[in-house]
Amino acid sequence: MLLISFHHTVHAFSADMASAMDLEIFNKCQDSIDRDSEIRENIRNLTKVIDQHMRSILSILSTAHSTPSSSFPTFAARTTKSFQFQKEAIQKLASLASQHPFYKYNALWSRTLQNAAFAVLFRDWLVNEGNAYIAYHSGSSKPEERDEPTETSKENDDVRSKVGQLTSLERVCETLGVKPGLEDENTFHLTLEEYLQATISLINELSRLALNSVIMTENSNYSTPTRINYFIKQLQAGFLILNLKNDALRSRVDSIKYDVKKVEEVIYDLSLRGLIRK
Amino acid sequence: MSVSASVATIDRQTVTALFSSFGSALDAHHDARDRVIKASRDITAASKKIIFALQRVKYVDAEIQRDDPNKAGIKLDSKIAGDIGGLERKITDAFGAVKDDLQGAGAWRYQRQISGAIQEYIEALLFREYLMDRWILSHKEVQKLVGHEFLVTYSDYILGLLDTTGELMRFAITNLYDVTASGVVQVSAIAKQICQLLRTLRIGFSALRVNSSSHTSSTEFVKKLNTLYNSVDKVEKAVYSLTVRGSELPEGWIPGDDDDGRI
Repeated sequence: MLLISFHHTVHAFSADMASAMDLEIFNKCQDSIDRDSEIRENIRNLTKVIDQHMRSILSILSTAHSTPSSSFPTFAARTTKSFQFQKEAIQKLASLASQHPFYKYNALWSRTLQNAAFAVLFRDWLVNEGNAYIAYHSGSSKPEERDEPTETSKENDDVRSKVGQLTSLERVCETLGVKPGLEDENTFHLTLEEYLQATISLINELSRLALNSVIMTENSNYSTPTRINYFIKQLQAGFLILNLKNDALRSRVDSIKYDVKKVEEVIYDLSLRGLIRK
Repeated sequence: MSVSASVATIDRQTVTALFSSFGSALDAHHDARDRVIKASRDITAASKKIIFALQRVKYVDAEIQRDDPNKAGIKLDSKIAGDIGGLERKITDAFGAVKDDLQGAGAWRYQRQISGAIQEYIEALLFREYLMDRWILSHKEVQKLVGHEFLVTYSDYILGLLDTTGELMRFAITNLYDVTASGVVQVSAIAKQICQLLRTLRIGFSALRVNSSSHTSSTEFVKKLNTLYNSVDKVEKAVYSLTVRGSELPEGWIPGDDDDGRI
């Protein structure tokens, strides 16, 4: 209907109007707007589906704030199905997005992929933490000996095992079903910025978890906040290496220090009362 | 022995190595982005100077090619033509400096940084072409002039075209009237033509359906469209006034004086 009315308007041009320009410009302009709107609409519809799966994953994972660390691996396993659905939805988006230059519409799904990446980082962290907690507290008096072999066995693994609980960019991509950030490629991928943003989201989340893990601790085993403290301080040191510009990443990196402070206060409270040894 | 021992296995060196590799990727991106922003500033400044130079051309004084009255364009004197040539070279150099950064994925990655410059340059190209040849270049023609190694989005073309209408309005107002051999003041041919052209653009653009939520530059488009409406009004009003009162005008009257600098 609207398209018809537009073409009528073009007929409204008088003959002499055409002398200084090609009136096709307006039709082409309309076509360009319509095509662009349609693509954006389609991409948005797909990101909505991904967001939905991401939300159901995060609602399961946020159980971490109200359960003991030992149960982390158990409920993290309940996200498997949603992760699978999310992966399928992301693949749909990838095949649509791949028809266009990557950065043309990147902004439309960037936040969605960032959150999805955060869900992976958080889940993996929780699983590792749960296992570390169980290993550490299963009646051991010499925890170093127990932890040593597991870490050594991973040592020859990828970057992920070396940094401990931080899942690598490549591994996150694998879980999401996308390619890792190949800077100059026009193919659909998770960008480095999106991965780093997700990492900061993990730090945010863990600073909250440090507090809640104290509330949920069984038998006065306060090891989770200590591990969080160490973990996010490592990451903070890592972020300090980056030369940041005044952009979105910068302002979020600046927020890390508040998370670190929050966790330090928990550690301070616990050590003051002799609940953990420093 | 202590709790912290259980986490001491996390390798500080690995974190450092990992983030150092992230750092070099980010640095490369920031450097490219900075180069594009710098080139963008240079292109914008030079394009503005071209437009100013063209605005200084007095239509009545300019040598006009009379062979085709409908297409009668302005021939620039060698001084202005030389100035513009120099500015064009600056623009070419600035584009050349970021050619590699704007290839492949970079074309869209840094589109937002170069977009303003492209629009300004389009404005200069369109304005000059109109004055010289009385023709509004199409997107395709503009892309050819800018060079196919650089991305000229349709959106930039449209916004550049809308900006050009402001320059056309100024030109029409400053060159509003002719004085015939018998001393009669009349609306100049160029003012009439620009008036007609602006109306055409107004009709065409006002019929466009822009989905404000879906188009990146739609707010800018709507803003510029309003400017176009105002420009059409100004030119129509000026042409009308001169038509009505032209013959009564005292010598030395300058059009637009009563306009309070709204132009």
